[in-house]
Amino acid sequence: MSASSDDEHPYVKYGTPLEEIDESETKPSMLKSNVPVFDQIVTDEEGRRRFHGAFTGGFSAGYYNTVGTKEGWKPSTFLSSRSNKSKRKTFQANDFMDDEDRGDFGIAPKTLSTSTDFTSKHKRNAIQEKQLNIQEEKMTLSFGANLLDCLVLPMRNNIGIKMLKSMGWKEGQGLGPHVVRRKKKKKKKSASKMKVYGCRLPGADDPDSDDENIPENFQFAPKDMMPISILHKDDNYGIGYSRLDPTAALHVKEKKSSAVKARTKSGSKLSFYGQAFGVGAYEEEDDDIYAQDSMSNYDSVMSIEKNPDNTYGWTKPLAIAGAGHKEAIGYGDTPKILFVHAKREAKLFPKVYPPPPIPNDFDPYKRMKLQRESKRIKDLNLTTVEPSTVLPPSNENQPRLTSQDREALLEDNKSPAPTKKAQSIFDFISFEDRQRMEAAKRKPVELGFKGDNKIVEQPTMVDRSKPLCDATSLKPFSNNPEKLRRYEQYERAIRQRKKDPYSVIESNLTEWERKHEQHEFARLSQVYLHLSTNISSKFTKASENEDNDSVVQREVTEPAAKMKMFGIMTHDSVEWHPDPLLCKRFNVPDPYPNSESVGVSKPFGGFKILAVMGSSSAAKTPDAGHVASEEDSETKSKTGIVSDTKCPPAFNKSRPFIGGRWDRKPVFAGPMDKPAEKEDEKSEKKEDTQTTQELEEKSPERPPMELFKSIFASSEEDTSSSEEEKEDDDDATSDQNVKTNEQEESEPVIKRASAADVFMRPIPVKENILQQAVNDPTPPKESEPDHEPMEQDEVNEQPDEKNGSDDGYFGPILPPVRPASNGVESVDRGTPPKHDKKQLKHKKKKKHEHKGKKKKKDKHR
Amino acid sequence: MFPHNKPSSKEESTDKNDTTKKTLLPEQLVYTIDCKQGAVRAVRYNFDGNYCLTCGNDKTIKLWNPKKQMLIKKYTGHGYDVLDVAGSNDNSQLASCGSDKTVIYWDVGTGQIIRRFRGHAGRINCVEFNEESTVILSGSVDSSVRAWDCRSRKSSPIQILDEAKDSISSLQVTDHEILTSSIDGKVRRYDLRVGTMFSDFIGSAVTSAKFSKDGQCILSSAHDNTLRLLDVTTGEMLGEYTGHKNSKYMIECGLNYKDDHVLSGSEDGLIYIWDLVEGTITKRVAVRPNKVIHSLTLHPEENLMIAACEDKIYFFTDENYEPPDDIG
Repeated sequence: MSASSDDEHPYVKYGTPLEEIDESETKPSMLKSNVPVFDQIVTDEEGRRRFHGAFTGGFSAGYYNTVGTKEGWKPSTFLSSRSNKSKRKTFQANDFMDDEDRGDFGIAPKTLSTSTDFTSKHKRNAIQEKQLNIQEEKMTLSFGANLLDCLVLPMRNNIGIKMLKSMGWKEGQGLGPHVVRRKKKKKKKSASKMKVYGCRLPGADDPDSDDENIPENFQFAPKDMMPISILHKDDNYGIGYSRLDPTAALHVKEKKSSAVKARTKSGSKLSFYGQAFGVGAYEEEDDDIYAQDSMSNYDSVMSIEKNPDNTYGWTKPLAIAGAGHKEAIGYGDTPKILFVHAKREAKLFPKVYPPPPIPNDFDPYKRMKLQRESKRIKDLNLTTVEPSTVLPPSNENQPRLTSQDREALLEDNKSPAPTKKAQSIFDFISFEDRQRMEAAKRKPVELGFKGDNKIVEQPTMVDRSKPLCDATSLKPFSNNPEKLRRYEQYERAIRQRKKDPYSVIESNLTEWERKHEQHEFARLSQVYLHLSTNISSKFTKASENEDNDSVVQREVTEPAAKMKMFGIMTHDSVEWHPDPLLCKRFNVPDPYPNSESVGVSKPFGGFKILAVMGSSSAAKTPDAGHVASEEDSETKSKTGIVSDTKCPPAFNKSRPFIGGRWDRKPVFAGPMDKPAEKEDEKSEKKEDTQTTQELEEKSPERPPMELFKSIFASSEEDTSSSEEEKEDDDDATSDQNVKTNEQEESEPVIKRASAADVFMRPIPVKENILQQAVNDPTPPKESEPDHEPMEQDEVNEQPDEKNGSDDGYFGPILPPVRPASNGVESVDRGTPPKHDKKQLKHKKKKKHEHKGKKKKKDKHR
Repeated sequence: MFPHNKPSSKEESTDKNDTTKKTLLPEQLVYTIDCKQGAVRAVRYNFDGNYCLTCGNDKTIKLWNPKKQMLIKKYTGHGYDVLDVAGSNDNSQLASCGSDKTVIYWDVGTGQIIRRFRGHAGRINCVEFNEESTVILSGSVDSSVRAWDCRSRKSSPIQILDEAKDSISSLQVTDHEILTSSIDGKVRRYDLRVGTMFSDFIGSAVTSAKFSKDGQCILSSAHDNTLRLLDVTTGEMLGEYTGHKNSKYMIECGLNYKDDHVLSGSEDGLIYIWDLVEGTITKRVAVRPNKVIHSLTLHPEENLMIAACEDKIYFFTDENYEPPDDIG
């Protein structure tokens, strides 16, 4: 009560005044309904925030919505179980639950509700009980046996029950359409008509009372019935009698079977014996421990139980459908079992069907059906339709072998092959045909081997049984066949890597001669091998093949094919070495077991015509051929068949690459010992002498690189140097030059010829070798006409090659672009043909090669 | 199962053989399947003729039951067109090849790739198993035939047959022979038993070469609109079959299962059937006018033929043919 207060408040007041409410502040708190949704908070009973998080609606958990506790992460108590094991607490799920879990919406609500035990799912109705009982009965006094099976029920219903449930069936109901419960009423009426004395039975009225409440026409499901398990009666006892089971009485086996076995954690076996679970030590044990069985346990009288529940059981078939029947369900006090004679004699034992008989030809092992086998069978079957006019009857047991094949198999190489083939050819071709052939060729191949008789004399050169190595194909001692044979033996021994190769050769030479010869052979083979490896590394097979084949094709096969003269002219065979593994996989014996090479090698049957014509002496065509060749383009005769030799595979497979300074050229490959040598002889001889002279000057030990240099320098001279030689040329060769300038395709072949000369030339090791050249009847000529036009060709062909950079291309050279005359386009499948990329590539590659060549040329200069 | 609807535009051409001997030919179009895999590059019967395989433009191979007209399985794994496919003789593996330059060795049941063979430098046109299905042979545009080993883990081929000068167009393998045809105009036969390569020059680009059933003849089709029957041993021409059109595409030919008729696709939408001995056209079967029938496969034991044209395959049989009931 101060003055100041008096001033402000003139009245005397009691109590504390309420604070004045600021209107602006009060608004939100006052109007709770105005709280926006996002500000509203749901709390539980204790005021804890129930939901938190923006969207999750996570429940409150832990200590103030953290996962921790009041003490943090530390467990509230730690009890060592070591000392007080007995006190070990066994936790239950309930111990970890909180109020929310036990609430209405928790996982274990405490509220009263129907448990699943009482839902229809796991309801075990009377029928199931009955079933169980029956099963127990079936167990025929076996105590405990399979009891567990009866107790353990399947978790899931089988599909039949599921289907029934989906159709509206419920457990406890019978099957079938719903019926109106009218019969009962009838029954009731009939029962009510009966006079009843005394008390009513208590249960008798119940259904009636139920029925009264039921409205009319209310349909009920039919009553469930006990399924009758009809067992085959396989004993001779009376019906319903089950004998004593001695095993059960002895009670031996069941103990084991009833034992529940388990394993402890430590691994020791545990097993529980006894009547059932829960029989403790102090509890009374069941009777069966002693297996005392008394007859009182058995039915001595056959009767039906007076169980009111026995409405389930045997019913007549008309039970459900029988609307007008008085007794639809045949249960009653009196047994209604009627015995009827079986219409069919009951089989005591189920029929055992024997296994099906196995056919005699049944093969339990699966085998692969082979194509050829099926063909054979077919051939046998189709003898009638086989066009015997076309197809010669084939003996299936024998491989189809021609004489050449047999020759190959027998390795009968002693016979002079060329003449043999000559016979075959001229047997086949009539004279007129041959004439036509010549005409078709327009310019026959130059076939003669004038003066060069060494090849004709040596049919063994086509020896195909030998392993193919170009070193062997060099025949240095052609004038001394005995020595040649010895040399071949020597070569073979070297190839077999024998330590003393010469020792294998037996000869009647004196010791001095042998020594001498050994020395000679050693040097010779060294040089030859060196030569071969060097040369072979320089040249590729592709160009050579292309040359040969294209030439042969152009000369012989194409016109023949055009004239439909298929046969010898178009047929060709080449020795081909399959890979041993391929033979193995094909299940075919290796035709060349000792062969080291793989693929196509020397031809023996190929190129028959030329071999024939050459060897069958000049009487055939050589003169005519010459005339024709002069008439026609010269190049054809030149490029004309040089050799049909295909490069031995050794060249391809294990080709040593020697340096980069010898560029590969598409010029040469393969051994040059073919009888069909078609080179212009003049130039050949010329080069022959030239090289021999050069070689003579050099020491034999000198590496043959120099030799090659000289050879290649001479073969690749530019035009200016060759012009000098040109003057010395005779007319024929100069004519050739002019013509070959126009013919660009001839280039590789010419080159090869020059290289071939190297091979054919004797090596300056011994006089014997040189002797050959000296003995050569044809005088050598000075000019070297072949190589000069070639150079010109090169220049003409590749005018722009200087522009490109030398990228040092190595590798196999693909065949050049095919002549347009062939008319062969790349073929597409299903789409119009396009130009193969390959062909374009060839062009590119060719350029590269020429570039390389140029460079090399410069180097040499 | 087989609706016998005759093709409307069937040509009843020269039926010379009617009087002499009536040989049944697969001339009745029974049904057509749209393979739904783009252009069908090739159609092949399997070894015993119970199944057929088609390889398509869409990089897939499809395995069919031709009698039930049912697609059994689809094999995917190629990077480009699949150009050829072959089944092993125990029907458990497939080999296929295609524009992706790879040969794929398949497991039939699972559709998994067992091996993938790389090495060809170009598109692979044809693929074949050997008789015991231990080796796959593939012929490519790079003019080589490569033999791939199915038994070892080697990635390189067992052998390369590079004798051809141009792309290999077709392959056939028997127990000891490999027959190749090449665009360079040659048919080459590699005899493993003798160790010899036999080549026959045909002249024009050879698109297909087939052995006769007895192995005594080679049927080759070339780009000069001609089929030729050559004797294996001598190379002589035993028969020549013309009338169809084949100058642009790789068209396959074949002999029927009795070896008495020659069949070939054509670029004019017909299938031509010649009498093998007489060389006369027995039948022209119209398939699809002005389309190319490029692939053809004949049942090994029955009068059945499947031809491929664009995106469909056509099944042919003779008029008396009844499908066996015991088809699994």
